[in-house]
Amino acid sequence: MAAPILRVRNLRTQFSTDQGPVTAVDNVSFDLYPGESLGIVGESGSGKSVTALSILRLVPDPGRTVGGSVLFHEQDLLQVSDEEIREIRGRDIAMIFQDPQSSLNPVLRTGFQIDEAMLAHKQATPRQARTRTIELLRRVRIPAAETRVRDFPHQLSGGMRQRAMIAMGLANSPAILIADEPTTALDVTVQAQILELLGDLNRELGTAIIMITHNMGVVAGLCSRVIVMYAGQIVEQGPVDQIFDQPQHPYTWSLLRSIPRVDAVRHERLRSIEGMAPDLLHPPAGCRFHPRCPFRIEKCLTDEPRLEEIHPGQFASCWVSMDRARAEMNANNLDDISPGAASGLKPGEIIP
Amino acid sequence: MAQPVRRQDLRPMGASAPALVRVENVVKHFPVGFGTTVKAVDGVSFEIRQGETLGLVGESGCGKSTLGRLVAQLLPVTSGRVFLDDVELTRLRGEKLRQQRRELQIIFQDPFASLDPRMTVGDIIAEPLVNFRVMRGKKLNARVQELLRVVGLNPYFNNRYPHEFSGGQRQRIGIARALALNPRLIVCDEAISALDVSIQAQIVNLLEDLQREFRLTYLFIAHDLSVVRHISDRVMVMYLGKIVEIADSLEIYNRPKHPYTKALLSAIPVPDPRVQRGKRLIELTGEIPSPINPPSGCRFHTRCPIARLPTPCAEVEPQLEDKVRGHMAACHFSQEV
Repeated sequence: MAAPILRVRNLRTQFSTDQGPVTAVDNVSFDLYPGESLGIVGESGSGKSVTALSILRLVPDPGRTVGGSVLFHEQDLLQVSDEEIREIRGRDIAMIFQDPQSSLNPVLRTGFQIDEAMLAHKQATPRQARTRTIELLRRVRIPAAETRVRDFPHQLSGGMRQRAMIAMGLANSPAILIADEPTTALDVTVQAQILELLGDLNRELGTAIIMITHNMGVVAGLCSRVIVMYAGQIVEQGPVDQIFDQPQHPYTWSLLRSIPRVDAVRHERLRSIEGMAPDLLHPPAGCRFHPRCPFRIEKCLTDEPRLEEIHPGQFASCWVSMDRARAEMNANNLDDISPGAASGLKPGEIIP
Repeated sequence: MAQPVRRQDLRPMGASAPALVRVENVVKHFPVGFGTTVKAVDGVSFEIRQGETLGLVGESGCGKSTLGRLVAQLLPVTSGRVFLDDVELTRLRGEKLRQQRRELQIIFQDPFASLDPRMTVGDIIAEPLVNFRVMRGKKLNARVQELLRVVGLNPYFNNRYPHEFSGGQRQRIGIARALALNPRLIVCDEAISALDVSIQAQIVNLLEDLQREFRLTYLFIAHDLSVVRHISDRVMVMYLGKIVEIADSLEIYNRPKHPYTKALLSAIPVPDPRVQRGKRLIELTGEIPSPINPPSGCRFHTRCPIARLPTPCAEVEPQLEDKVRGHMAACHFSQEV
C-alpha cells in the first residue's frame, strides 16, 4: 500500500468548562491513504466532528488541541504557522459541513463564493476561476450551471446548496476532502444523490474522503475503511466489510444490531444498548463502554484497553473482543444484552 | 424487560380490526398572501385501525406533519371530515372538542422544545390530569410516579427539571405526558428523529411495549423509512399533499406499487456494505415542485421515471385505489412499477 497521506497521532482536544476540562478527542491515531474513503462513525458527543476540526485547527473556543500531531506531507499541521495552515485549508484539505444553508454567505452569489475559493489561494485569474466554477458546478451535476452560477444561495434547494459546497471544496483539487455529516439535513432521495456524487468524485478524481457520519448505512455505501468512535476514543477500526461482518468491539456489535433495516424480512425486537454515553467530565474508569457492555469482565472496570490488531487490518480496543464473546459467552444467541448479562458481571456485583 | 416478540403476536385483532380514526377527503390550505395558498394536505382519505401502528413517510414539505396535526385536532381542517369512532371531530367545537382531545395525544420531535423548562417533570406529566380534573393530591402524585416508572424513568425524578435529563430521557417524559389521560391514539411526529441511534432503539422498544400494554393505536410519522417500516403494521407514503400508496409494511417494501415509493426505498442506505454496493439507485430527476402550484394530473409526473406524457399522467389525476388485497396506490401504471 502507498504511504499514508495523512498521519494523525495521539490527537487530544479538550474543552475547558466551569467544571473542568472535557477531553472530547482522547488519544486518537489513524492514517488516511491517498484516494481512499474513510468513514468516522459515532453518536453525538463521540468526538468525530471535533477530530475533523482538530485536523484543520478549526476547533472553536473554548476548545484547544493539547497534544498529538497531524502529519501531512511531512509537516505537522498542529505546528505550522497560522498563515501556512490557512494556505493548506481549502487548497490541500477542504471541508464541507452539515448545513449548507449556513455555510454559504446569503448576500453573495453562489458562483462568486466558489471563485473566491480559488482566488484566495491565487490559483487562478478571476476569468479562469469563473470558467472553472461553471465546470465544477456541471461536475457536481447542477443543471444549467451557466445561469445557476449567478444565483444567490436562497435560490438553490438544499441539495443544490450542498452540491455547490462540494464544488467549492473541490475548487483547488484538494488531496483530501473532509465531509462532516454532509447529508444529515437532507431528504433521503437527495442524500442518495449526494453520496453517489461523492463516490464518483472519489473514484474519478482520486480525492481522499473522510466521511463523518452517525449513519452506518452511509458508511456501508461509500467507505472502504471505517473508524468507530465512542466517548472521545477510537474503539474499532478496519475494512468496512470486516467491521460489518465480524465487529470485534461490543459497541460496534451492539450498534449494528440496534438499527432497524429497511430490508429486514420480519419484525424483530431491536436490541437496544442500555444506558447512555458517559459524561466526559467524569468518564468511567477502565473501558469507557463497560457500564453498558454485556461482555465486561473485571479487568474492564479498572484497566483501559488499547487498540490491538485482532484480524489483519482490523483493530479493536477491548479486553474481551467479540471473537471471544462469540466463542465463550454465546454472543450470537443472546437474548439479554443488559450490562454484564453475558459475562455474569452484573451491576450489583461491581465494586464501586 | 419484555421478551422479544413478533409483530403478529402483538395484534390479536389483525387486519380486520375496526377503524378507530377515519379521515375523509381532508384538505388543509395555508394562505400565504396575494390570494395564493400552500396546499399542504390536498384531499386525503384513510383510516387508522384499532390497535395498529400506521406509519406515515414522505420527504420534507410533503404535508405529513400537517396531516398528523389535523388528525390530532391541533389544526382545523380547510375541508373534509375526521372521525374518531363515530364522532365527527371536525364538527365539534369548544368543550365538546376538548373532551375528545383526551383520546388524542401527540409526541413531538424535539424533546428540548416540547417541555416547559420552568416546570418540574412531575408538573409536566400531571398537567393533562389537572386540566381535565381527573385526579389531584396524593392520587395525582402516585399516578405521576407510576407514569414515570412505565416509561422507564426513576419515579423519584418528579421534582427535577427537564434540563437535568438527556434527549432520550426527555422523550420518555413526553411519552409519559401523552399517556397520562389513557388516550386511544398517539400521534408520534418524528418522535425519535432527533435521538442518537442507540437511544432510538430504546424508544422504539418502549413505544412497542406500551402499545401492547395499553392497547394504543399509533400514527407514526417519520422521514426514516427503515424505522417506520420496523414499527408499523401498515405504511402510508405521501407526496406533495397526497397519499400515493398505503400497504402492509412488508408488502410495501417487497412490492411497491408506486414509482415514488420505489425510488424512496432505493435511496435508503442499508447498513450492510454488500447490499449497499449491489443496490441500484433510482434517481429522481428535478426538484420537489412547489405545493403552491402543484403539477397537473399526477403530482409526481415531473419526476417520474415511468410517466407517459402528456397523457394520461400529466392530465388525469390517478385515484388512490385498491390494487391487490388492501394494497392501495395512486398510479396509472402501478403494474409496471
